[in-house]
Amino acid sequence: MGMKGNLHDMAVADLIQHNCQDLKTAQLTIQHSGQQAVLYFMEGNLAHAVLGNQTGEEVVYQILTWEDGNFDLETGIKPPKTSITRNWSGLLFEGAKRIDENELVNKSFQSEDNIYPEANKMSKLDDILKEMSNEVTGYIACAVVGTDGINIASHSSNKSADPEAISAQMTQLLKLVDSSVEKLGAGSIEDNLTTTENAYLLMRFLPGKQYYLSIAANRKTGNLGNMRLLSKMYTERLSKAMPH
Amino acid sequence: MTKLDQLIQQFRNEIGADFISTDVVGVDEGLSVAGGSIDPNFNAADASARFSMIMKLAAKACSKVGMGKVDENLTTTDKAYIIARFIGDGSFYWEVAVTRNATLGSLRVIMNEYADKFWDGIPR
Repeated sequence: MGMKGNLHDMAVADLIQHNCQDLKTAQLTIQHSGQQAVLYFMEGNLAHAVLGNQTGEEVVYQILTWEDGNFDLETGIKPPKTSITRNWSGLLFEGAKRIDENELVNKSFQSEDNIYPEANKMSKLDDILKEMSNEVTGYIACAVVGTDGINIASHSSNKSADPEAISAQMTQLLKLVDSSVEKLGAGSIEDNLTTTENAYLLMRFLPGKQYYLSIAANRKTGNLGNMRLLSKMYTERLSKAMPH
Repeated sequence: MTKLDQLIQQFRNEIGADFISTDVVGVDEGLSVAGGSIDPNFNAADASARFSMIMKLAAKACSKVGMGKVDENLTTTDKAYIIARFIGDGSFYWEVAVTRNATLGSLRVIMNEYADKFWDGIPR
């Protein structure tokens, strides 16, 4: 099933968000001032973008500045190739940041909030994680992660810790623990703490269980009570700042 | 009664009224070699099998991201604390479930006292 419309009615960022959140596989063609861009979605990921001779992320950042034009969405069309690996929320956030930096924001809009509210909320999540990183004893890394294993915001104190890799692995564990305790009749999971020889890794669901907060801390310098307390406090704050 | 059964009984007595279940489980098989549940709603055999999968996945996941060997996994639900801890050479784990009224810090200290004894008590 397809959809046609005008960018005045639905902005490029909203189109991207809509297709990704609905896990669509589709081709989105956008016409603007004699130019034509084509975006390809694959099962909820923005996989490929073409504009003239350009492909990849840079195309997305460019078309995010388009405020008028027409679009045509055709579902079921798979991307001919993959030129984008970054997740969609990261693309929108980067796009919003670039617009801000280059002062390309149309002055008729009163604030950036009017343009990319979802991207701005991502920025707030990043700010909250950064603040939390200063309070966790023995802090290594933290992230807000979807149950698909993809980070929507993350922070790390050193380059050796890869929040994306940690999230991808640990999401499987959290889902298995969640389903296991439910089947055992042991109640509803609040958090899961894995202790290794090097680290503590705490995962706590945000309300609704679509996302969770993960915090990694050093085993030697970390403090379990501190981690559990902060995870409770910050889960509430993150939940309020989440895009809806 | 085996040495391990006696140790488990001692451990249960130390935990007191908050005790729900404990089992010493072979990681590969997911089968309990000793233990049991006092709560008819908490199936110890089912828990042993499920937490065996959890401990194997935790070990694999943590190894892949460079966090080192897993010592234990603590799950907090609205009803219970469930701790699963590798013992000895890691071929067995020890799972303990207690109510949320239990003092988590004390439980972990008591488990530290018994972990090596349980490993020594596993029939071989």
